[in-house]
Amino acid sequence: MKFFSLVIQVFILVIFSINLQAQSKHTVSGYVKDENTGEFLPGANAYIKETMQGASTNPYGFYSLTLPAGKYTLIVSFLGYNDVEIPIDLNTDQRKNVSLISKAILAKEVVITESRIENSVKSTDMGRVELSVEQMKKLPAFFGEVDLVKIVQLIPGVKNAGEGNTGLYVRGGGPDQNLVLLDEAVVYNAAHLLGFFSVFNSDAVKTVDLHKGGMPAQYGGRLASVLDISMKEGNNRNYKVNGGLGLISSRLTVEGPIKKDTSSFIISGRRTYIDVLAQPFIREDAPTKGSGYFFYDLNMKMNYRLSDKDRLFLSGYFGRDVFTFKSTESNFNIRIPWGNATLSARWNHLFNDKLFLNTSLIFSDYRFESNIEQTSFAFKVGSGIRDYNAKADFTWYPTVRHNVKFGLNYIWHRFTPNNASGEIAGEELDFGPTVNLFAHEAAAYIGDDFDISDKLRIHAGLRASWFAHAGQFTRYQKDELGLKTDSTVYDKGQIIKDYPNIEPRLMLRYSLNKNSSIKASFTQNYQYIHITSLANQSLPTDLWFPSTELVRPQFGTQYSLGYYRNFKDNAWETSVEAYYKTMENQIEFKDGVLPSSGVNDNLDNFLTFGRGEAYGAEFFVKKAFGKTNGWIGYTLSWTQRTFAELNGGKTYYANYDRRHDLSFVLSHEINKHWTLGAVFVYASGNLIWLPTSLYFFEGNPVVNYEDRNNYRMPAYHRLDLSATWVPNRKPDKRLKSSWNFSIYNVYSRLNPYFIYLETSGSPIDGNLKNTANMVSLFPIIPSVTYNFSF
Amino acid sequence: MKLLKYFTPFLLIFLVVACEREIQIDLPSSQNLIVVEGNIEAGKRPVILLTRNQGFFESFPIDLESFVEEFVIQDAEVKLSNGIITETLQFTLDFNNYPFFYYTGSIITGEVGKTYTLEIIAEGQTLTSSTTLPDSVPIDSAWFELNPFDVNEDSLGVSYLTIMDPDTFGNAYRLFAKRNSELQFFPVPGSSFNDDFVNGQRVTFFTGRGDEPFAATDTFVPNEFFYTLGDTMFFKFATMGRKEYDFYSTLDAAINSNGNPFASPTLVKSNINGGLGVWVGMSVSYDTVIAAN
Repeated sequence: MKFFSLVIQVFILVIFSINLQAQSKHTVSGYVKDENTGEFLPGANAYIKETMQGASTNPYGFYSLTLPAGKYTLIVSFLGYNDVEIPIDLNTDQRKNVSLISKAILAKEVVITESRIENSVKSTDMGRVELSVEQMKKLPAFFGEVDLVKIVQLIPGVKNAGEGNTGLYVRGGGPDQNLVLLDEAVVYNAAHLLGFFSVFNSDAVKTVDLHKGGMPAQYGGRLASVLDISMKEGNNRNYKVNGGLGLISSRLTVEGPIKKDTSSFIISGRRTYIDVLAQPFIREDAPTKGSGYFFYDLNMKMNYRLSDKDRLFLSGYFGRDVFTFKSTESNFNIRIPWGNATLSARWNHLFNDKLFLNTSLIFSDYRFESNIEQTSFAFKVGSGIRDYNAKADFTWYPTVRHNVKFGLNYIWHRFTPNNASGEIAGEELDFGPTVNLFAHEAAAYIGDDFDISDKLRIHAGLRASWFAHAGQFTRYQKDELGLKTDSTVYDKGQIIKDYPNIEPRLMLRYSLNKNSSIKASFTQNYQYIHITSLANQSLPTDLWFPSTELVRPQFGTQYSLGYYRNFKDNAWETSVEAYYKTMENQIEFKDGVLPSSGVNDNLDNFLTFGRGEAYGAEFFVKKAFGKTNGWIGYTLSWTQRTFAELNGGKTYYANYDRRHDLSFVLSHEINKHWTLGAVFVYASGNLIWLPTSLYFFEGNPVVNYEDRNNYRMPAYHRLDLSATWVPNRKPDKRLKSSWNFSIYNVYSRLNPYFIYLETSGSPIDGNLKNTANMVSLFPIIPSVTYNFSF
Repeated sequence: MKLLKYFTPFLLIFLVVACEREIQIDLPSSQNLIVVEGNIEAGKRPVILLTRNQGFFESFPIDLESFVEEFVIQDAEVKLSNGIITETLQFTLDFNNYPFFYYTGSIITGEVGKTYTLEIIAEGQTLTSSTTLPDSVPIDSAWFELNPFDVNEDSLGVSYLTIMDPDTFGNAYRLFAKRNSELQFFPVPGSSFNDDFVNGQRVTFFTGRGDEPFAATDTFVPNEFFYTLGDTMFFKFATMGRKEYDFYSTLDAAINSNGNPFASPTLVKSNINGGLGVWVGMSVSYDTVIAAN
């Protein structure tokens, strides 16, 4: 294929240009790890004191610097750890594995004035935010559950759609435009309980890395953002147990070495127990006895160091939400389980001091099931998506000026739209055969972080992607009235439609001085799998579906420009970023499509396609460390959609168009016992589509809709407070504990969940009445959580 | 997505903690639109009711007289053409037959296979539409059965009908019924369906009694839905075009989603250019059966 050969040519060109420069140089490389737990540290900085050149460690804690022969001082630093300085005499290639000591371990107070080489001013990353889980744990928690996704939503440019909505909305994009990865496995539905909790158990998570702007070439397949979450590897020095007891849920994590310094494991579990706690209060003869809801999840990870050059990782996640409804009176049972399962097996191999390879085999699955039973009637509907994924990712450090990433990726997708089965009085009901959709997705990429001069650094990347919808498949042809005229059957494995594409990624940073820089980026992305929903809310029933002959891949182009400035030795980071984004082939249901349409038909026959446009500016002030830290983020933004077949072809604002969005996050350590946290959010209300008039047809009141998204709900705002208390620890005891007291929605604001209109009564009786009703979810909610570790 | 229906109880657990209250909101103002409720049956004269819409929160007249004054358009110019002749329809008051206030003619009657074009000029707006009368489909058989969902029931029941769907895609139907001494046929609950899943097959379905306009209640009343053993059941089974069917199916969905907070906006697909409602040509067949066990 033409475009693949182009990629290879570019790749060869880059290798040659780099090799020409490489003369009489030597490499210092190694792994950076935490002295206390033995876990590797991704994102730590390794740099040369004399030249201030360096790089950060890769996701597996590896760094490599290639320099002309000479004497240097290598500094390894990482936020929250003490710097390590190592003198090196670079006349041969050298391996320097470095262990860092966490500042939290040190008893004496440390005044932190670190000048980090990799910080927001110096990197080429635009719209990238890394969060520390430890920092998150000091913030207020809803029902005592620290929620990574909730905290990510406090970053400017990232929005939630209010309580009860699963989605992340990044820079005007939809909830399906985010790539959520847990140890490289795609998590298709990142929410429990309709978005009130995320599926990520904070005890099992090591790092959270969000890319909302320029997406580097190693990521693809989504338009708006990447949320890359890594699980902890497990302490390979000591056994450790930690956990938390909360009002509605509890957590327990066990980790430790399998073989000291060679292999370790971590198992972490979490379950809610509202259902169990509520049972004693429900009367034995209650008509809905046995109804309830719970969720649980399990994270597991093991790693094994085969040699200094090879490491194996095996990680998995399994989580389910289960809702049950029982009506003894009508002998009616509903059981609805849903959730994700992922499994990733990874192998790290170091070819030499400059070339690092990670190979992954990944499985991910999301399922939704609904079982309904009555005396003589049973009905079951299932839907979901399943992926088998293989990846090879290389990191190559040819010289200190280059950091090259390249790799290959292949995914086999299986989509299951609603498939029903059932029986009535022992007789099977015929809902037709199970219909699955299949697709191939492949990509090859190369990206280079290149220091062109001391002032100018670029990330130049190219991603070639390919997607194919494959058989078995039945295409129903329709006429303009929507009547089936014919159908075409494609055989198993047959390629029905494929899309090869090239995605350029370019980011550059120009340093104005030591403390400030200007950055710009241009990126193009394709997205091949989609969600669209008829409902106003995101629900676990939302279906993923592939690009087909009719559904062309979503295509996004983003331009951004930013100014970054740090103050007081990088203690304060500030930035302003402006972005402009276009999104082609956006997807909505056609007007007048009913929820039942689509059985014995192709879902894409009911879809219509249009264009999106989003722009805005994000202001960010962060105090990264110190006793008082936190941030203020403000976003001013617009996002619009234009569909020829919707809203009479007129442009309209998307329902998550958000003019103003403000987040304020603060954490203050009063003394070694008490830490206070506060979160305040303010966001313009979501747009919803309400009918404007009413008419009568055959005596029934009928509402009529005009312009789409014509009503903005009241603004959302809320204040949460927390206090974390760490009691004195007896020096001879291993047990450490802390108490987190949180108050959610301190001033009990009744924020809109949704608004709906209702007509009641009859014109004949003269009591016809129209009302607007607003539903709000959570008033003030205090909670307490006890956390422990030993 | 049909699941949403089964999903609703799940959402209810949030509504336990949730708070719902009535609020005052300012909706954008609406256009003035004309609603056509028009039909032409094979062998019958056209019947066209024209009404106005009103802003969602505008107050309703409480007495019938001002209700009619407010909603019914009485001075429109309504022209009907069968492709050969064009007739201007006259506004008529007829208190025996729904819709009571309608435009009708004295020349043109419906004929199977013919197309009827409507042009309405009223309140500064011009509306047009056309409809064709498809071939009629006879009722194969009809009978009564006691309520199948209650084994102890001994008098209330439903009607069953069987039809043979022709072997062409796109057939659409609407069933009207009356019983005993009732004067007029009215559509039964869930009155319209199509042959998307049953093309060319024998179709058996059951229904309750016809719904009188304005009598719709929010709750299910068995005595208004079921036939009683011994009733004489009259059926009028109509065929119609696909666009007309799309109107009724989206209309039913819109009516059902009234007051359902989780419903998505349901747009009613009208076949009227420049207005709302439907202009439907129907070919009908009849059957009469006595409800016996």
